[in-house]
Amino acid sequence: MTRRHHRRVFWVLVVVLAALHVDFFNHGVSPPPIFGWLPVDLAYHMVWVIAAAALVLYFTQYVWRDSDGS
Amino acid sequence: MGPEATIFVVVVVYFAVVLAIGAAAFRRSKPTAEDYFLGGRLARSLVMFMALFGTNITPFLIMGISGLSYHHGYGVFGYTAAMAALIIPVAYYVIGYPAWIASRKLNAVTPAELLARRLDSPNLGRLLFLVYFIYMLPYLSTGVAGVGLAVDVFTQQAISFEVAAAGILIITLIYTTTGGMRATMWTNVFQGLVFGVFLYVSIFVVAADFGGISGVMKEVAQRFPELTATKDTPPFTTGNWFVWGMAMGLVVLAFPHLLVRVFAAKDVKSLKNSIRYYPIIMIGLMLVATLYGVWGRIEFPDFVGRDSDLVFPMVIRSHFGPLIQGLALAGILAAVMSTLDAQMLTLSSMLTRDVWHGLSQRRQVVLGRLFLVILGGIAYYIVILRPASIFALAQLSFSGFVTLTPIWLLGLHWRRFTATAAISAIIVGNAVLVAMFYEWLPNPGLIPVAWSFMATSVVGIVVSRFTSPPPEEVTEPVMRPIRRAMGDG
Repeated sequence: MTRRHHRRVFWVLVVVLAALHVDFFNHGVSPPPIFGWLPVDLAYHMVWVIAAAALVLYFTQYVWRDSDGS
Repeated sequence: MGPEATIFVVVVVYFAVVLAIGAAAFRRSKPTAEDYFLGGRLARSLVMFMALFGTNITPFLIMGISGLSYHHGYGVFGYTAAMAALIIPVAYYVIGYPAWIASRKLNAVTPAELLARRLDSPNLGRLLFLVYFIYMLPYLSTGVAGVGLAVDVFTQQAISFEVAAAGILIITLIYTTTGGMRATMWTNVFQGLVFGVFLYVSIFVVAADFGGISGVMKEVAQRFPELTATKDTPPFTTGNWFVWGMAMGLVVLAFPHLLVRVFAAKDVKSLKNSIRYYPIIMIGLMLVATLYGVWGRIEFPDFVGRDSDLVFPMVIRSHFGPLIQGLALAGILAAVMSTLDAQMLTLSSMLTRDVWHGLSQRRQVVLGRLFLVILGGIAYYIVILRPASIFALAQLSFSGFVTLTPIWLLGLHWRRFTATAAISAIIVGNAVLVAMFYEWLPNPGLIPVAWSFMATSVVGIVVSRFTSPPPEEVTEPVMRPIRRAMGDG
């Protein structure tokens, strides 16, 4: 894939993750906690942060060039 | 030795180390403005990482987030922290990276100077200084207030809130006025380590005292079920959830003291490496702060309103001996000082570079130091008044900084953007923010910063269409390298 493709993939994933951050489907409901103690809402956002961190690694590797523009 | 004396000794040793680092940096410094304000633009990956990390960790994070989660539960993590893990790195790419390139091409030391030169308008630089100054004061005061509260709790009022607040300001002034940016970055490495390690380790100790992580989570669910489920009610309504999440991500580079750290990077690699892991580490700390707030409710269930800012030091006090309490206090001091020094130094550099033109290098540094002392005095006055909770004060300040973000996006990516548009957008955007905050304008939903951000963007674009952009010989030396760096070549 070229850098242009990587950039497109990155921005699409940014939009998808931003949309998934607004987890209104979790609001106002109280499902049983995961493992009996971890609230689903909290677990959801912890997983979201891990996905975001993975995306940041991808973008610093394939999208952001080591160029100072000169 | 009594517990208060032990805490005192630990903190004194800590201060001695910080001042020694500041003195070492001073010995390495040269009497030029670029060296004093940007450390000679030589910050490598680790120093950059720790400088960004230390600068961004504040009492807002430790005591503000734990204070808010005390009342609103685990949802505070998703509301305040999660989105920043993604938006901060994105902001570094779309604002920080081009701003770093532009700062080198224009030889700019401050954010205001960069935009004033890019748009060929000294008045824009003066206006930006004024706006940054206004919004920095409440943020700066949250740090000093946080220290005052923590010292008050840890020493059981042996050292009063007022004395502690004055003490932190004086120490920070001493090493910032002497060592400049190099001192603040070197001390940030030490302070970030102290604070980060302490917080990550301490939460496991607290959990073990409660019977393990699962034990404390179950107890919270049983006694305070309202803290475990997020409801679609204020502050967590769907629109606010998205807007505040975005604001928390964008605000980091909207802070002039963070943007100046970016200018100090040695090369692109240092910039990229510093951003690679810092969001995940910082967001982890926000999770720890949230847990402190929610778990603290078990032991201290009776805090009302802004008193919940005390929950973090109170939990530490009840779970650790005086040695660790001293380290915790040093951690809070580390967090405050590493932010306070950057905030003060940045404002002072803007005064001498953007407001008072034509000064010699030596006079810039002298005036910058004098301004720091005056700034410290004003900050102290606000801290003594302490008009609101740490979170509420920070929210106002953050909203003000985020309102300026469209100016940066337009200024760094749109050649057609004009100084008149920038000045109009700043005035209108901030007028909308203030009017919304004080409810002078009806709010059709969403938090005020959403409307002020939109107002700044719309005014910036529309006014640019009707005014003349700076000549090509002013814009192209900056815009061409930015396009080249961010393109596909």
